[in-house]
Amino acid sequence: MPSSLIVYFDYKSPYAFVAKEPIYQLERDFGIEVEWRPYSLHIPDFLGTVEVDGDGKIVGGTRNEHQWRRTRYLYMDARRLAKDTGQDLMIKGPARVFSSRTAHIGMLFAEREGIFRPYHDLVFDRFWKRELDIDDADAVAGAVAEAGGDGVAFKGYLTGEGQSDHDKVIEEGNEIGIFGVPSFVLDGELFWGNEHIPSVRSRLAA
Amino acid sequence: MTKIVIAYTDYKSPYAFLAKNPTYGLFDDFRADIDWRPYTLDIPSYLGSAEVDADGKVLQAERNAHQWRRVKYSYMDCRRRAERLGLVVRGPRRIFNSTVAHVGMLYAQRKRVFKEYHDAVFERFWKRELDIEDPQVISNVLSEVGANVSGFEAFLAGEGPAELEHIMEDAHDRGVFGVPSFIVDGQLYWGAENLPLVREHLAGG
Repeated sequence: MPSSLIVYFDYKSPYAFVAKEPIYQLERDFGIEVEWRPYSLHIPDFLGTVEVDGDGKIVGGTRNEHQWRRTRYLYMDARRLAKDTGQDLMIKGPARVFSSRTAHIGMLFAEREGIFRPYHDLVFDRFWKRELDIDDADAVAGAVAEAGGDGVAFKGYLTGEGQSDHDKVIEEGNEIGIFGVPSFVLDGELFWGNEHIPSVRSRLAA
Repeated sequence: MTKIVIAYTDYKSPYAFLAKNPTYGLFDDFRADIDWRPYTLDIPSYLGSAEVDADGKVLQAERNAHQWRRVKYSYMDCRRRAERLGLVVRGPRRIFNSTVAHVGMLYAQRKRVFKEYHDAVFERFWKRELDIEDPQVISNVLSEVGANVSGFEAFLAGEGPAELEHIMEDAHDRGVFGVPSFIVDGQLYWGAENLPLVREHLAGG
C-alpha cells in the first residue's frame, strides 16, 4: 500500500470543496493520514480576470470567451458532482475573484494548533455560503477562534512567518508540478482532479 | 427509446483520442446513437503556445508557468492512461490546426466512412505519421477508407468550413469549451472521466 498521500486544495475552488468529504472517507477506509497542503490558485493565469463594479456588474477584465464557458461549466459541474456524490452542499456563484492566501495561512496556523479539521470544515462551508470573506484577516481570525484556536496569535502569524511558510508550500507544490486543485500526490505520483479519487482509492487498496 | 449522445472531438487532443473507443462503447452497450461532431480547440486561448524541436527543446513559447505545468501534467497523464489502453501517444512538437482534418470528418460522414476515417486519422496522427493540416494527406486517407474523393476539394473550399463554423457556433451556444465533451438530454459533460456518468445516465433513462 502507498505510504503517503498529499492533497493540495484551495478554499476558493468548488471542486476542492466537493472533494473534501471523499478524501476524509479515504482516511477512514484506509487508516491513512492525509497531508493537506494549501495551493493558492492564481486564477488570472488560466481563467483571466473579471472586473466588477459595486453592484457586481461586469465592467472589464481579460477573461476570453473560452474562459467564460469554462468558468460557467465549472460551477455547474461542481454542483452536479456534489449531488451525484450524495453531498448536500451549498455552492454559491462567486461575487468576485477571491484571494485565498489569508485563509490558507490560517490553515497552516490551524494545523500548528491542532484544530485543522474544525477550521477546514468551517472555512469551506462558510465561504461557499458567502458567509466568510476569506481574504479578510479579521474574518479569518474569527474563524480560527471559532474553531478553537487563538485568533490574536493567528494575526501575529499572518504578519510574520505565516507569509514565508505559505510561499514555501506553494513553491514546493510548483516544483512537484501542481497547477490545479484538488491534486493528489501518492508516493510521488501526481493526480489532478476529483475524477482521480477512484484511481487513488484503487492504488490505496492494492 | 434510442438516446442520442453528441460527442465533440478534436484530432489534436490526446484526451479526445483516448476517449474514442470508450465512446464507441456507448453504442455497443446502450445502443445510443453517437452524433460525432468536430470541435476545433483554440489551444492558445487557454494553454498559450509553444514549439519544440525533435529533442523536445523549446524553440519559442508564449506560455506562463502555470500553463507549462498544466501542459506537462497533461502529457504525463495521457501517457499514463494510454499505457493502460495499449495506445501510442507521442507529444506533438507544435500546436497543429485540425480544421482540414475536421472538414475531412464531415466529408467522411457524408460518404458513410466515418468510423474508418476517424480511427485512421486519430491513430496515425498520434504516432506522428499523419500531417492533419495537409489537404492532400487528408484526401488520401478518405480515399483509402473507401470514400469517393472527387468532391473533397470543393467541399474543403466552401461548404465544409462553413458547416464546421456552424457546428462550432452551436457548440458554443451549448457551453462547450473542451474535448471530449458529451451532451445527453441537454446535460453537458466534459472529459473522458465523466463517461461513467454518461453511462449511468443512459442506463437510467
